[in-house]
Amino acid sequence: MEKIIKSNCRGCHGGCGVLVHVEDGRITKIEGNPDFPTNHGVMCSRGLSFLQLVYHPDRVTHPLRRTGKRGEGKWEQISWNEALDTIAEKYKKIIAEYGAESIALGYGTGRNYEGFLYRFSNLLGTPNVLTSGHMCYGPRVATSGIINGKLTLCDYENNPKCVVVWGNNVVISNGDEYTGENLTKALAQGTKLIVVDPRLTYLAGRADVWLQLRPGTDVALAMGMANVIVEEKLYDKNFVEKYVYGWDEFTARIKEYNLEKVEEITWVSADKIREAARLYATTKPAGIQWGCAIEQNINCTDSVRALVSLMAITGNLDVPGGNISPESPPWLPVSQFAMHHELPAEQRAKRLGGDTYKLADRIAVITPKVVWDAILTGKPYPIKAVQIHGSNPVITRSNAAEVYKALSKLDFLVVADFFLTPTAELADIFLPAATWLEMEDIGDYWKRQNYIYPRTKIIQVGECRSDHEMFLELGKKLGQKNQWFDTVEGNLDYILKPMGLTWQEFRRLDYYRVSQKYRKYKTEGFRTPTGKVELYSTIMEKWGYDPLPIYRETPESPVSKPEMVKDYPLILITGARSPVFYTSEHRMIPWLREIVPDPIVEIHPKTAEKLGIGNHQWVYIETPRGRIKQRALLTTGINPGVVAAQYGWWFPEEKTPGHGWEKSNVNILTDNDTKGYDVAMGADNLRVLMCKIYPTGDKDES
Amino acid sequence: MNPKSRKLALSINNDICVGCYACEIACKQEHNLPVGPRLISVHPEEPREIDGKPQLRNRVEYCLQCISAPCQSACPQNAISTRDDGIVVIDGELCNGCGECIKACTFGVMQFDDIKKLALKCDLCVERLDKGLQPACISSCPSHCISINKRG
Repeated sequence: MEKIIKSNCRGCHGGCGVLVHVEDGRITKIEGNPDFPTNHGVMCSRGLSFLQLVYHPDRVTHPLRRTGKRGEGKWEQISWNEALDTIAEKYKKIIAEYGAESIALGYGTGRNYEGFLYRFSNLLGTPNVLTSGHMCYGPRVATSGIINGKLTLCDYENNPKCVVVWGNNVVISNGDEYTGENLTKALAQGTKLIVVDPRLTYLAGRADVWLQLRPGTDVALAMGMANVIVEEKLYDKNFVEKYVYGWDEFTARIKEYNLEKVEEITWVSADKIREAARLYATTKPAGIQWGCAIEQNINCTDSVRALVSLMAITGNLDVPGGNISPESPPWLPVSQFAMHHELPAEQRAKRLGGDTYKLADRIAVITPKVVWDAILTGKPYPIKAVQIHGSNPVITRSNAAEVYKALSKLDFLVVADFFLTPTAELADIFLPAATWLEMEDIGDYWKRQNYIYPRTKIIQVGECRSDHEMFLELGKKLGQKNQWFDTVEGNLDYILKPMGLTWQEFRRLDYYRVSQKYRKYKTEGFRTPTGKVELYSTIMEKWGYDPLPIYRETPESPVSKPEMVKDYPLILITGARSPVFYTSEHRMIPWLREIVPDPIVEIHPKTAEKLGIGNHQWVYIETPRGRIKQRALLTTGINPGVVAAQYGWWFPEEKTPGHGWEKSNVNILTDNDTKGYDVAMGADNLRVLMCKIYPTGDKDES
Repeated sequence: MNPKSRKLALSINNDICVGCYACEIACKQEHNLPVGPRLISVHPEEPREIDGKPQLRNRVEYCLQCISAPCQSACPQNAISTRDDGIVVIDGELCNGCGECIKACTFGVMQFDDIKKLALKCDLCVERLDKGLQPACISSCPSHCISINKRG
C-alpha cells in the first residue's frame, strides 16, 4: 500500500516542498509538491536523486570506532552508548587538562542543526565552532547586520523589474535561498537582467548586460556603478537624505572609482559599467541576487558593503520587488536557543581569531586556519579534539594538505556524516547521521526567509540518528541534562512555544508563512547604531577597520604578484557551482555522477591551443602549493587569461581510505596564508589564484 | 477537433532551458532506470552568438513520438506500438533486446538497458498521464521549458 507524505527536502539547505512516496516502510520516490509555495513542485537533480543517497550501499548506518592507525581504514562497529560514552569521557579529560576551548565543534554548510550544535558547544564552554560561515553566507548575514540591520534577499514575490545576479548561478544551484525558478519566471515576464560573472553562464548569456569582470574585482565594479549613479544623480534623494548615514564620506570615496580606473581594474568597459548602473538605478523595483562568489576572497566584507550601498542609494532596500529582509516567525530565535549568552565571557574571549576577525566573532564564527594552527603548533593554546558534523574540510577548506595534516595530528576526532569521506576516514569515532527523511525537524530554523515547515520522520535507516539527537544525548552525558528538554521533540516544543504551537500541532501543517512588512524603516529605522543604513560603518570604525568599502587587489594576481606571471601565467578561479553536485557531496550518486563523471577545468580554446591541450584531455593544474588533475573543457565562455576549475572532488569509488582526496581537489591549490584574508571576516582567498596548466601526458585516459 | 485524435509528444523550448538536469533525474527516478539509458538528456552546447551576444544553450534530446515511427517498423518482435494518443510504447515482455529499433531511430534517442537487455524509450509517463499528472520531467523542470505538444 503506497502512502504519500508531505515533507521538505534538505538536499542542500532546504526549502523545497516534496511528496515522499512510501511503500512497505521503504521510500520509493521523492518528487516536488506542486502545492508548496516556494518551489511549486519543481525540484533539482540533487533532491530528485536523494533516494540513491538514502539507500546507498556505502552509507554507514552504525557507529564505528577506529581500530587501526589513524586513516588506515580499519573500523569496528560499536553501540551508540559506547560511542557517546567514549566521546564524553574523552571530552571530560580534555576539559580537565586543557579547558573546554581545546575542543572545537564543526559543521559544514547549513543543515538546520546549528541551534543544537551551538547550544551544545556553548554549554560545553568552547567558543570554537568551525563552519563555512567565514566565507559563505555568513559574511552576507554579518555584514548586512551591521550596515542595514539584517540580511536581504531579492523579493521575487513582488515582481522585480530588474534583477542583478552577482556571483551566483542561482538557476542551477542556490542552497542559500529558494530555487532559481523564481528568477526564470521573472525573466519570462520580461524582467531586465544584469549578470556579474567571469564565466559565460546560461544567465550571463540571457542578460541584458553581462559584466565579465576580472575575478576578485567585484568591489571596484560596484563602486564604479555607485559612482555613475551618484554622478548622474540617479540615486533616490529622499531615501538618501532621510535614511543613509555617511553620504558625504561615501561619495568622496566613490570618486576614487572613476570609470577609467575601474575599467582598468575590472577589465569591464566603462560603457558597460555605465549601462549596467543606469539600468539598475532607473528600473524600479530592482533586486540584487548575490552569491557566495563575492565572499570568498580578500574583499569579502567590502563586496557585501558595496552591494548593500547600491541597494540603499537606489532606494531598493526593504521595498516590494527590491531587496527585503524577511521577517522571522514569533518562535524562540535560534540565537537564544543556541544559548550564546551562556558562554562565559572569559571563554568567549578565547575564541581563536576572535580579536583579529571581529565581524566573524560577532556571529560566533571562526576562520579555520586558526584551528589548524592551534592543532599543529599548540598556539595560542592546543586544540586536542574536533567534532565535525556534515563537513568534509579535507576537500572544502583552503590548503587541503595542511587540513589533512592538522586533522591527522589531533588526539581525538569525531565525524558525523552519511559516508566515510576523506575527512571521516581520519576519525576516531564515526557517528552515522540521519538524513532529513529520518528525523523530526523544524525546517529553516536558522535562515532568514519567509517560510518555516515541518519535516517528519518517515523511515529509520540502520541505527542512524539525527545530529540534533547526537548533541542532545552527548550534552546529557556532559552535565547539560538540566539545560535540554529530554527528547528532540521536547526541544522542538520549546522552540515553537512562543508561537503557541506544539511540535505535534506544527508537524501537521504544510508550512507556516510569516507575513512580510515593507519599508519598516519609516517607523522603526534600520537596526544599526545610527538607525540608518551605514554606508559609513560606525561599527567597522569602532573596530579599527576602514569605515567605507575599499577595493583590495587579491593577494595572488598578475597585478599584486607580477613576478609570478612567468611561471604561473593564468588566473585560476574555483568554486563555480555544479548543476549536479552540492559542495563536496554527491560524487557517489550514480545518476549524478553519470552526468558529470570527471572534474572539469574550463579553458579558452586559444589558450588551450597554445598549451597543446585538447578538449576533454586530462591536464595538470599547478600553483605554488601543488598540482591536481582535471579534464579540460574548451569553451569561449571564459577569458583566455582565466581558467575555471571545479571544486569539491574526491573519488568515493576508490576504496583506499584517502579516496583520491589529493588527486583533483582544488584546495590542494588554494592558499591559506592569513595575509590574504578579509580583515573583518577572515574569509580566505578561495576563488582567485595564479596557476599554470599542462597536459598530463596520460594517453590511456583521454 | 476531437481531442482524442490529438497526438501527444514532448516539446522543449531550448532557448529557456537552464541546463539543471532535473528532467533527467526525474525521469530516472520515475522509471527506476540504471546508469546508462537516458530517456531525456541535456547536452550543453558550445557558446555561440545569438541576438548579437554570446549565449549558452542546452540541446535536449528526447523521443518525438514519431508518426509512423521507424522504431516500430524496425522491431521484429512487434514489441513497439503506437497508442491512439500517439504515444509510442515498448512492451517489455515482447522486446528481445535485438537493438534493431536503436539502429532505426532517426534521432538517436532510443535507449538500451544493459542490465535487463531491453530497449527503452520515453512513454511520456503514460501511467502519470492516466492519473491526470504531467510527465515527471515536466513536473520537476524549474525552467518550465518542457510541455506536451498536441499535434493532430
